[in-house]
Amino acid sequence: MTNLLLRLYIAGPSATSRRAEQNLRRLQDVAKAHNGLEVEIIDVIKNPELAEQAAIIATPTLAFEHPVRPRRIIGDLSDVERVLDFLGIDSEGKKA
Amino acid sequence: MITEDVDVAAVLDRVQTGVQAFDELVMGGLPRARTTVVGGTPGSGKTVFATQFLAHGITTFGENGVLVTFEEPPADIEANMLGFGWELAKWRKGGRLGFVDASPPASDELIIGDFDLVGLLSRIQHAVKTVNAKRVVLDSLTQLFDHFIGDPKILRRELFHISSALKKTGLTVLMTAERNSEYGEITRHRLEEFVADNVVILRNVLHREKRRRTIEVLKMRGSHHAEGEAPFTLLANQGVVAVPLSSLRLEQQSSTVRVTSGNSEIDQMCGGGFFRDSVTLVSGATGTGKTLLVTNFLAGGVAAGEKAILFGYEESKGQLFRNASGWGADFAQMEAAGKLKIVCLYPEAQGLPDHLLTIQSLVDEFQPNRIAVDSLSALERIAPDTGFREFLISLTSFIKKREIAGLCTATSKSLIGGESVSEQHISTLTDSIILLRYIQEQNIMHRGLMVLKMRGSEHAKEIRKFTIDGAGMHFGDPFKAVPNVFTTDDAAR
Repeated sequence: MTNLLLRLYIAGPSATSRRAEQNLRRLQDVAKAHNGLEVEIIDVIKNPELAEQAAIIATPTLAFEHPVRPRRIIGDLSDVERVLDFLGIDSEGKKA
Repeated sequence: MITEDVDVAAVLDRVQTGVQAFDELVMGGLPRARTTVVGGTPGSGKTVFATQFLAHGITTFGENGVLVTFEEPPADIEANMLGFGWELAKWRKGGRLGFVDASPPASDELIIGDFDLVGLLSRIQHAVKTVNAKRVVLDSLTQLFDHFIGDPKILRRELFHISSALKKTGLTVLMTAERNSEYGEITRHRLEEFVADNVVILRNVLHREKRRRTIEVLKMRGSHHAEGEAPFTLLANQGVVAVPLSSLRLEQQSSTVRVTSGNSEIDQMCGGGFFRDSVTLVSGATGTGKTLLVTNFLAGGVAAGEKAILFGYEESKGQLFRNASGWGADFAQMEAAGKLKIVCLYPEAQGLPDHLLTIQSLVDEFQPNRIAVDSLSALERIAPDTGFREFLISLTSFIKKREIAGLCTATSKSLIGGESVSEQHISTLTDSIILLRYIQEQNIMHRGLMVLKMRGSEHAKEIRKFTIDGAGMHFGDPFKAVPNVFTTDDAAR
């Protein structure tokens, strides 16, 4: 089974970025049963060229690099259920 | 903090936009390290103006630029702007222009919770660093608002943040924004209220079946600017070309050098000829001899070793040549010798701003000592009133600025007496006015000429009778008792 890659683009130490990181950790816990959920965190201030590559406008942005249907969530991810739902990962950890 | 001092000093420094007449309106250019919002309806020329701002920096001042695009991908903009002579692709490859493509991504997107635009800001700053940019354009903010349609408050806060972060590093920022109507709220979402130090508005108004483009400086924080709308046009290989409104400054030198009108009698009546840098209006009904006066003016100049140019809007070149040879002036030979240039155009061929630019560019190219325009009334036909007045102001001031002698004609509507609208407009703008009128004496119709006004000089006050034959104009005695045909209709009533 292929690993699912989530990339979180954040802007340094800003409050929303910290919140997004926290919420993403909660999300990882909820979706723990799901095997290959890999998370990479990229700071756009340190790595603007990566932000350029991914055409990031807003931060934080969670990019779900799905081979068929790439999806993005902008914001601090405060509603974990909606995040999971949008990504198509149910809380039992099965891939939808 | 020393930033305060830097800011104050920067106000004096101006960044030229490449739209010359616009830079004059804002006292030399946009203030450096400030943000200007350019608002306009779709198709009003915002992107062209913004791109010109970057292109001018790159080509003229070696100031590199960054173009942040929210709507079209960079490849499309590069293709679209080629027509204006701006080689964006070449500059991009040469490291003089950076692009930040912020057009909406193809992937699905959801917004949950608070966010900021630091991602965009760091990309812009990265691009600025890469090309060492001095100018930044964001085109257009409205697309950004449409992208994040549910969060206008966040966007306002974030745009303010982007604007101040860019200004802090000394960048001059130009943002475009859409307007819903030509005369209404300044921009959609009222962006200008929170990001703009300066607000410029581009208009594209349909008036009497003619498109009229204008540019207006609405606000310029901490600085003086000219008020009102200045007409402009979009030209291939040039971009935005604004028409200078010369009402701004009356700075022309006044010379006392006289030049011949081409007719010694008229020279005498004018106290020794026209002034070299003055504009003379010849007004008369059809057939009173206006075109003859123009012919004399041109031929007289050429005979005195000057170069002359004529813009004809009523007759074809062939007709003008035939008329001239009928009065003993060989235009073809003068033109072949490079002493005369005759340009005949249909008034309807282009708008008045374009006519003005045609005149200006041909004058600058040919470098004549005198210019004639025959007739203003034909041009008046095609323009709404304010457009015509602006045209006249610009034309007369241009002629004076170049210190060449100008002669314009206007056709009176009625055959006997009367005045034309052009006269009302132009009489205060021209230095001299010569009236040509039909005058009835018992059962004979005569022609009469009078020098009505001659700024800064004595002139003959009498009305002179004249005849026209194969050798031109011949003056007779002054009229002794004539009906009141040289005053206005109102006065005659």
